Amino acid sequence: MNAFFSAQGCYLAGALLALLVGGKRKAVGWVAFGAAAFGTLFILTAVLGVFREGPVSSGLPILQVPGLGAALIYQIDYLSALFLAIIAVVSLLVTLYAQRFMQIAHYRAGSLRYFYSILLFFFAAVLNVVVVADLFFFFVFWEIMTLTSYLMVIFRQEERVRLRAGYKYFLITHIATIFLFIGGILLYRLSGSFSFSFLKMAMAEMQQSQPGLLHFVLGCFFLGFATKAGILPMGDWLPDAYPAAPAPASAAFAGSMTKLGIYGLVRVFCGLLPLSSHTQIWGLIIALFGAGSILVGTMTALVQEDAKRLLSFHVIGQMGYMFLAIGTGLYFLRTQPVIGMIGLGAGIFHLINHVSYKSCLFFNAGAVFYKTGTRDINKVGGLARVLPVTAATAIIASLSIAGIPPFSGFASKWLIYQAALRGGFSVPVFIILGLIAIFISAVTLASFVKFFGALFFGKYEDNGSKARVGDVPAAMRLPQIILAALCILFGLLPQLPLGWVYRSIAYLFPPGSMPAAASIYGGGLLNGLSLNVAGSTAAWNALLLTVIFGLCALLAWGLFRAGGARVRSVETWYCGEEMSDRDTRYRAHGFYLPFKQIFRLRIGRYERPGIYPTITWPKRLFRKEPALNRAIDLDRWLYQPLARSAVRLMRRFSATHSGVPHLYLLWLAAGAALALIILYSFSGGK
Amino acid sequence: MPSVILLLILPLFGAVLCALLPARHADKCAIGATGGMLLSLVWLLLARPGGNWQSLPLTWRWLQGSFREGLFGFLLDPLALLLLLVVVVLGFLVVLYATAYLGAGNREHADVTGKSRHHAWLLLFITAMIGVALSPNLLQLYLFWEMTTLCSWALISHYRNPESLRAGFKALLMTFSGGLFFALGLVLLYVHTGSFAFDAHSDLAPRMRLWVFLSFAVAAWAKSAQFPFFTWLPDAMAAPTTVSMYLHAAAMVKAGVFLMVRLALANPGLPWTAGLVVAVLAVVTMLVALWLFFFQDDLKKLLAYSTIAHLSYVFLGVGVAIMGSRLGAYAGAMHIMNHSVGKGLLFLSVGVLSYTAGTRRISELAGVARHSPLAAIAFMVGMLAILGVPPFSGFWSKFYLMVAALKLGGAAGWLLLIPFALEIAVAFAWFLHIGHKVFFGPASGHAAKAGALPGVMAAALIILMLLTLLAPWAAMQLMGAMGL
Repeated sequence: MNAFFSAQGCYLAGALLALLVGGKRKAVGWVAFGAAAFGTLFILTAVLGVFREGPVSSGLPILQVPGLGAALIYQIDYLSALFLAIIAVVSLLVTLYAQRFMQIAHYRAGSLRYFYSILLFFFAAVLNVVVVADLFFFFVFWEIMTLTSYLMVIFRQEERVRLRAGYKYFLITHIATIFLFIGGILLYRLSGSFSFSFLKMAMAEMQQSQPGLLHFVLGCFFLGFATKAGILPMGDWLPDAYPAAPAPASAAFAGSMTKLGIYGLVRVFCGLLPLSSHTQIWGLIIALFGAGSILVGTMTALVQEDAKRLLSFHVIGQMGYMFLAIGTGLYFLRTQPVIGMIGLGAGIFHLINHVSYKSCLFFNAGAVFYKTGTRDINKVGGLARVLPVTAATAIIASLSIAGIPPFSGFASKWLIYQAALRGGFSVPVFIILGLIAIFISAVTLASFVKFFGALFFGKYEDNGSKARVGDVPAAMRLPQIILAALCILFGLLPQLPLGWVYRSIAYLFPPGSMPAAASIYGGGLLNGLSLNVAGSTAAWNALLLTVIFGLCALLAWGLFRAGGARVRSVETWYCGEEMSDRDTRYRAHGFYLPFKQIFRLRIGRYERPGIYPTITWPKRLFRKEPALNRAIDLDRWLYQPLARSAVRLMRRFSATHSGVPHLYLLWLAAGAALALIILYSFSGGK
Repeated sequence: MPSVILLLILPLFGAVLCALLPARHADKCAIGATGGMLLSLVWLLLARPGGNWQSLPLTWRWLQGSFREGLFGFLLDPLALLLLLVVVVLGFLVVLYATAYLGAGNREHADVTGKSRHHAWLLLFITAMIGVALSPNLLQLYLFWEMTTLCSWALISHYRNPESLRAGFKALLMTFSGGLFFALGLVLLYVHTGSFAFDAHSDLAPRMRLWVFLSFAVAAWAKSAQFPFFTWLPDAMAAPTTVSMYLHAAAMVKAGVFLMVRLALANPGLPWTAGLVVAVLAVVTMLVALWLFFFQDDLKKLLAYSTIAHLSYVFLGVGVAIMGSRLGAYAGAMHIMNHSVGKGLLFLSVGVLSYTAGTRRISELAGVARHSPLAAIAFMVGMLAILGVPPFSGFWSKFYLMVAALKLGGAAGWLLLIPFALEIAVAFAWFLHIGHKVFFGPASGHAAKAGALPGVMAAALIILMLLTLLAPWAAMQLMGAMGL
């Protein structure tokens, strides 16, 4: 626990120090990196401690909120530890990358202190979110995380488009958070405390006494977490907000923030909710939303031409995979725990993989931007020659996200397919969901063929961009290399991360109630995955197959060499026409034209390409003053007439003040008589 | 005890000095008086035996006579201390700010003559507010209450142009008419119970209890600008920003809600109907104010409507508390403090715009952040505090309020919560929109030509920003001591 607090101190100290160091581009970057490095070191110590010696808790509450039964208590169990490790690694790589990336002239030197400070505050908040054991403080840190990430989205506040993206993001997530609040408070009404352990009991009680209300509570939680995770339609903020933030921040979002939606979902739906019909119903709903996001998100990604926007839509699609896996897992947890555990494990494993390849891809896009100053993939090409390391890591990450064996994306997707299809034997709807997942995997590949092909293949042309010579600096290359290496490692040895994943999930359930790890993922690090569900086995041994394929490739190369064929290198022949390379290059825009023509959204006269609707808000809210304004303008119809008639009354009264003494005497007499009558009537005639 | 008397006397003394001495001494007198006041508050807090708030309340009676609680005196319980902290700390800051704001450098209202008049009335007002906070019974509260009304009239009319004279008169008329209901309630209460004590409602017959409570409520609605008496507050924005901030956001309008919280906490047996009336009117006010957000071009008027909505949060809490969920009254009390610091910060940063850019019209401002970063940061912090984004102040009391409303259970709880949540969401959307429009993006002409910001104004902004973080903690401690 102390290690966690030390890490916390590192991030916060770094944030304040960054503010003080100020406008020196290099120094402030190193301060942030130093803070993150020390923080990561401490976090990893804490994580190792937890995995070795079991969960730890801060014990006594650090802060108490009077009257609410909320207290700041930290608890690191295996699930928290897993997320801590992910966030820590991401924070290290992001700050390392940002150190060079943020030096480009695109960002004002004076504003960098704010960027790094916010970035470190953001990581501190994210770290807190995954370790608090109290829903109220979970909300507090959750909102601080939202706030800091919003500030990063609008970091270049001079540009209206970024402001719009930040506005949409903050507003949508804030409304989702209000739903989270309501769900949490409804539970609190039963438990009298916000501590997770009490809420767990409250959920069990509510499941018995008010099942309908529990559905509402779960709906609120689902809405809150799915919005943060970018699940459609609530995740509409995501494709705007991600591209608006600087590349390191996008990578940080992809690597930590959206993933916390999954964390919250698992924490609430697995950790708090008892296994019951509720888990099944919500499992199905989560899986359906997941499949919808996979379909719409990825299909829309196919037609994007802004590198980061393309990646953002893939975030939505990939989050869909996780939701599908976790939903499937939840659904079967009660009836067929083996499939349930496969699904849950696949979801979290896919999350780990997604962090590695998607952060890597955002780093790649950032490297391209660093080099060429644009994110439009139509405008660049042939960068493989200029950015060899970026190209190599990009292809590894692309193949991984597309689910090509033996990269990591395949290993987790394979588990997702298994869970969905095997579950489909008993509940056929999951077969459809599984098929969607498999089909979209191909669409993902198509999309990344475009992404990679347009950016890195073809002839390099400078087209007047401010391209610097040589690959991006080492501080930017290293994070990409590390992440790409993780993509390969987790693909070849999926048992390694799955071991941690299994422990983190199984701990949420009563000990012994879940099938053992070996029966789910197979034993031994080198044996590959072998799922054994109801007697039928599905095995996948990446290591073995890679060796075999490697031998095959070697053989092919050997044959090629043995044949001794000559390779000619000539200019491209354009049927005799004289054309420049620029005219003949196959641009990103030209990809998948038939697809774009088939999928159009038509509603009446409204028509736009793609299946993703964009809402444009009216510029002005009200053309003319609405009638309601006149109705609530109390001054106009109540107070001013009242005041006027009062003035009139006074005028009339002042007319009695005529200056004639006789009249005054008359008033006096009349008044005295009136007073006498009143007094007489009050005294009751006595 | 001496510190309490000092607290009351120092600003009064300062007011007299400001009024009598030549104008060039006004700033020194005002700073000295409020500084002394701040120090005596610190002394008061330190001098508590053991330094804890559990040993409150402190009472001191004067002119005891045949009265159960004494006719006059002081009551210093955690609730009084909460208002006292707001009044004294923000009073010091606003005087600090005013020394620079009211001057020849102000681009919107270059004012060279009115300083000592402003300071004198403001200090008199601070005295009145301290009196309100420390009153041990309703009678004394009423006397100071009307004193604040008078000061409000003078301060709104400060610039002496037709618009401000009219606004001042309107405010006086409306709050004073409301105050008549306070007097009516006092008379009824005294006739039936022989006491002015806060908890005397419990001695009334249940029917009478409703009517007496409602007449106090009318006074509070008028004072705190609730529907249907809210129309004076937006007009009162004709006052200098310092006055708008202190009287019409932080202190004076808080008197009404303070009275309501006092009564709700002191009288557990108030009728359910009274709670319903207060809560429903609060929700109506909230929605009316929310609707009027969309038509404001003057930043200060927008803030005024937001103040109206936030005061109705407190009324909502009080109503919910009377209906059975006592947490609501504590939540409302906390919101008094949390709102004061947040809204005070907003007003002062708008004042910076008036001072440096010479306008506070939303349509004329854009991209202020580039040239006046401190004003932008202060406005954003204040805005986040108002909108309820942790860790800033508004979030904490809003969350308490939501809990209180939902704890009420049943249809009533939901019917109050849903419009409340709606207001939170829409106000969030609108304020964020305005914040983006005014402070970010390319700079407009006015914003680009913004002048320099005086050091004392910057200092006030920075201190208030820190207070948005500290206020909820203090409010929670105080309410914890109050029995939350």
